[in-house]
Amino acid sequence: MNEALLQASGISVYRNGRLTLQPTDFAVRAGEVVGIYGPNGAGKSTLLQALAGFLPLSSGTITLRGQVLGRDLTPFSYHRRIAAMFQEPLLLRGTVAYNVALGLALRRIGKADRKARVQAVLEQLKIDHLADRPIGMISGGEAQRTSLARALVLDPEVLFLDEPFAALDQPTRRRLVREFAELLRGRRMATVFVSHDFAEAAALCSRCAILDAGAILQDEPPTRVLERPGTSRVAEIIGIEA
Amino acid sequence: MGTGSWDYWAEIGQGFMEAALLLVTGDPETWAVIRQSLLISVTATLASMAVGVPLGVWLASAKFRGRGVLLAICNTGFGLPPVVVGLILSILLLRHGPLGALNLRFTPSAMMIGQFILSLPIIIGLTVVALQQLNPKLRLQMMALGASRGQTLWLLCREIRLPLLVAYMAGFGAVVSEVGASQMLGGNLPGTTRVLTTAIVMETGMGHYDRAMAYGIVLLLLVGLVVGLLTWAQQSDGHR
Repeated sequence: MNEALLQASGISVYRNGRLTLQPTDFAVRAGEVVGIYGPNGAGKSTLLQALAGFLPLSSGTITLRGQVLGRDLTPFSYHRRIAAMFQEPLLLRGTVAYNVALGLALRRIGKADRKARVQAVLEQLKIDHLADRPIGMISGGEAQRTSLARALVLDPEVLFLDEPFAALDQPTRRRLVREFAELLRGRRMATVFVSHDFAEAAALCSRCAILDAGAILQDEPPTRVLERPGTSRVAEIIGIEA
Repeated sequence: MGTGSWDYWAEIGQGFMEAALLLVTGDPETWAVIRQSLLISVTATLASMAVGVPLGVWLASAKFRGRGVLLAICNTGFGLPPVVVGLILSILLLRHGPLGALNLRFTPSAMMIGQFILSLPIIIGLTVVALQQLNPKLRLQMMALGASRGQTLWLLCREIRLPLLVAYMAGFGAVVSEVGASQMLGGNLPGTTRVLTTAIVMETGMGHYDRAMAYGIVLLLLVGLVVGLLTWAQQSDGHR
């Protein structure tokens, strides 16, 4: 079995005086797409944000390719090796191309290289015709594609996605999930994906962690979770009878 | 309408005519006053932006005890009476005062300091309000994009550039039209510290309504021009 690319050991998070993530171990191997699924308030976004280095940990360590965050890696250099996308597109004023190129510009990538990489990812996500369009003039689905392109163009070692399609209407969402699944298969990029839709998580992920009250109850491939839910609570969470 | 009333309106009309003449013919005294007004107020407001915007960004995001008090002080500063600022600075700048050695009293620099103090809370306050309107997750997104602290500050300022323009307009409008602090700190000396507002007060007191009106018209035009330009920039940017 591959060694973990990203390894979290015993990480926990206190937020507003409450333990929102209990001491947790979590690993992502190269090319693996791991889902985090659970009910509202289970701590899915907290786990993702902790793994992405956005939250201070109360305990535990995060290791990327053997380098410990906070010891061998500063948060800044860690963030330069990952990418994240949230439920809202969080685009900045400017055109679609400007937004997609932003992370590359922050890394001071040369203009010609930047342009070529942006063009390639815009084509991959079928939004190259929108390159010069201001973000105020694109639809919700197009904005999410732009946000995804902005993350993918960085070619991150780990991609973190926090319910990226949750705010979209059903047809757009289904289409995007289908396309995104193909894209991930093609790129073989290590991805951590939070969803509150188990079918969506199952379509995208090779492994799915079922989270409840800040603790991982089961961490296995979605088909296995469906066939053999570890506990009655897992069965309840994924909506099947135990 | 009596003869007295007729004379009154005739004098006002005459004042307007002479004001227009002073402006059109490029009267050196009038233009010196306009130049000083612009120099002092534009410089003071730019200095306030340079200091106030980073302070506003810090106040909007930092979490510390006393942050609320600092914000309240800034908001109180919106109504800071110019004469009080003038008075306090005048006392500090007195020959034997704590800042007397700087020898700044009755200089354009003293007026700039006064106007800087008056516009600073406006710039800070409006920057904080503008940042609080942004999605709080935007900072997280900047972090996720690998932005350094400096890059994050730059991107956030770029994002609120329209409200920052409004802050500049508000700051400039407040200081170019104040008279109390300018009079007390500058002393209305011709060629150096005489600005539009102090000149209006002086000319009105001397009964020179034509000049007073010329200055008044210029002041209105100046504020209108600056605000108009910034509004145009704001509107054209808003469509992007």
